[in-house]
Amino acid sequence: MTENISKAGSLRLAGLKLEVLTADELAEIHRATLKVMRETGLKITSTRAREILQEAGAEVNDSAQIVKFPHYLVEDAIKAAPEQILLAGRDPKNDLEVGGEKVYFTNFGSGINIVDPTSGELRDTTKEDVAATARMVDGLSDIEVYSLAVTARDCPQDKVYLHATEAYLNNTTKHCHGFSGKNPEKCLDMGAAVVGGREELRRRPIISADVCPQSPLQIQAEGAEVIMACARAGVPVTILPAAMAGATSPITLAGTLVGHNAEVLAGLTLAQQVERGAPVMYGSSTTIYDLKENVASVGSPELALFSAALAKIAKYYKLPSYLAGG
Amino acid sequence: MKSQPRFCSQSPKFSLLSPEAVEEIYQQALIILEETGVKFHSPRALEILQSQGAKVELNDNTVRFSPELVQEAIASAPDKVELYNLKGDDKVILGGDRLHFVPGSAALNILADDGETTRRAQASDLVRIARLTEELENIALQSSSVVLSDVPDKLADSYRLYLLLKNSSKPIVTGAFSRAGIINMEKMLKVVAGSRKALQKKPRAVFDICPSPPLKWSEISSHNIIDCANLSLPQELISLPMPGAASPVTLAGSVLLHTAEILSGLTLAQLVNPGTPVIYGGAPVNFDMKAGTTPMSAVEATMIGACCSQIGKYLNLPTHTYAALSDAKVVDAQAGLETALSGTLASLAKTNLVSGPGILDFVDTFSLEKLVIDNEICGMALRLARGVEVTEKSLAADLIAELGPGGSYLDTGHTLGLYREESYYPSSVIDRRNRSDWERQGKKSIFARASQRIKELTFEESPAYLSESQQRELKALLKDLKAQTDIAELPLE
Repeated sequence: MTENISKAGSLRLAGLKLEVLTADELAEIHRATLKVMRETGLKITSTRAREILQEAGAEVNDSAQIVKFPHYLVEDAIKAAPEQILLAGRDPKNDLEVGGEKVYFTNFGSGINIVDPTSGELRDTTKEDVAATARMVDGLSDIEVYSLAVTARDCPQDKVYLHATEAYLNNTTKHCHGFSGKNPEKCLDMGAAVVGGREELRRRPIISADVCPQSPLQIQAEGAEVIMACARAGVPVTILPAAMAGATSPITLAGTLVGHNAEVLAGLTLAQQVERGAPVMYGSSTTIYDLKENVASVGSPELALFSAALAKIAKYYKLPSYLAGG
Repeated sequence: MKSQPRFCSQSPKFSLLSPEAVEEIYQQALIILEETGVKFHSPRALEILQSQGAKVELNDNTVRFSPELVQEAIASAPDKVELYNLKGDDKVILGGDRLHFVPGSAALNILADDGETTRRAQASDLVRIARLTEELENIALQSSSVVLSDVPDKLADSYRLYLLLKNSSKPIVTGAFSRAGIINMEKMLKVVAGSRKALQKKPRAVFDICPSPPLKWSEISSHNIIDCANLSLPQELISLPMPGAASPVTLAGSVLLHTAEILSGLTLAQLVNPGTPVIYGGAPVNFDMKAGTTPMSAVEATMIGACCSQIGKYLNLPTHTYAALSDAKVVDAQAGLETALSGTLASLAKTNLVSGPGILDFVDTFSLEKLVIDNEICGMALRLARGVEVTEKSLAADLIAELGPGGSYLDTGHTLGLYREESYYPSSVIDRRNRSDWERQGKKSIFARASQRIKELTFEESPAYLSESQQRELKALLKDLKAQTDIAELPLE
């Protein structure tokens, strides 16, 4: 494609465009977000994370576990975070540089039931399903990253991510996204064992983590630990709120974008305070809450609008994004 | 923050062509019209075009247009078309960034309610489709969606309109496939409107007219353009680019050919009657060299349609395309994904009228079940097209501050007051129950849920849309047409 673009006078490839928010609207969402972060703050239940943020200049109330972020701290973190991130594959031919205009697809994650491919019956997902989905993604040419597709429910609950990491690392040469939970350092050690050490993992991160804040405006201790561990290790982490508009965030799309944005930027700020330049992806699985059926519908047009708007917000901050869609 | 909302919200806009590319395509189309020309296989069209200053080669029917002639025609065409309902108290406006859906047309076959077998469509099928469409909230217009196998060709076009007038109240997209079609159909519309003047003031129907690519208009199409223009009936010019077969294999080349064709028809219409309403339409397909078929729901076809809409918008004309349809044979996952993808892209491209719901199998087959499923796709696309409204109230920064971390938004006045506006609530055709409810209620497939909704929405008897005198006059008109065409009997008379 580069040959095409370099041709003088070419009109090609210049036009593809989807606009969901105007520049004014983006600025207003940004201002409202900063106001919420400074005046209301977020609840962060990790003592260590609150200490780090307090040292950096945030106003912390330890008994309420509330952290209020001054504007400069957030805006400085946005500037410090990298625009492009390498998601390395175990096989370098599967390396991806995310950020900018490029789009890649990954499978959706964290299923807990599976339709058994041989019996056709619905059953709980297992470690073997993690391995099987990783092998499947390895063979699918247009799915370029493996996201932890299912939960290894047959493993001890506090070690599911360790078992999952073993299963996917052994079954795909593509980048593996989605570890989280109680043992981030051990997951990082497993990745390091494959590539040849922590320094090599920092250079070629073949795994990346996923942290879901608890909307509205809360980051749990476990998630904060994962963010800090990844920042120290130089391994990418996605801050991925899954707000439900009308239940855990405002019913209005714009209001939900504000709360969502505050949660991502809080995680991002924490990461940048641990290590300036730590790779962070702007995530979302935010959608509407269907008040009639009492479910969070991922097939709704509102999810598509959220993801399109959040892609635009991530681009506004020059951050790579990881969004639900399809 | 200021107390007044300052952020004029925009609906999402999707475009494939840069402004420079649009201008380039338009300029190249003018060159084709001036140098290569377009064939009109109609002495009547040639005479009009010659008398109005186009260069006409009578020996090979080729007409060449000066750029000025085409530009004047574009300038005189209205930037919107309004179509009215039966009562004349509501209208669909086609123009600007407005978006409306209409069932696709015209299929030869109907998918039976077993979801598998097909049979030739009949008059009774058109009536069923019309009654169902009447109840579908996201489909604003009616269409002559099927070809009636039980009606002789000579009256096949007029009789479809007759059935729609009798069985519906929404505005209508139709078309003529005979020389006298437009004249006869205008008579019917006039009966319902009350007079020609009333019909011209509040038109109920738009007529689809297609060229024969590349760069040709048949005698019937030429007549239709002239008749519609003379009678000030809205017309929708629909070119059918087919990359690699009836147009260049490249998407840009196909868009260029489309532009030249539509502009040639539009110029004829405006020369006959300056200011007559014309919609800039398209029915792009792709040519699948492997299967030897012409998929209308190929992503390339949808891309051509989006480009053509962009050109139509650049020329300030109301736009139309075929999209929100599928080439699958049954109502399956392919049908859903093709309909949703093409419908979404056409909506985001802000095409004013999208024709396709209900359609399967290269516009050969129509399914009522698919129509009610597609109605939900249309509802979602309409929601998407409204975009994200950003105002002080919608940003809700104060509410976020008030509830703080861990608060619940479920029982707030903000949620209860705005949830219907902010979210699209689909009908029971779309399954949003949790798994245990779904299992308890019989694990119904989407096809079964669609069948159920058809039963709930349609009744045996159609309401009497027309007054007795209107019905009498239409009957008399039909009797004349039957006598003229030697037809003894028509179904459902």
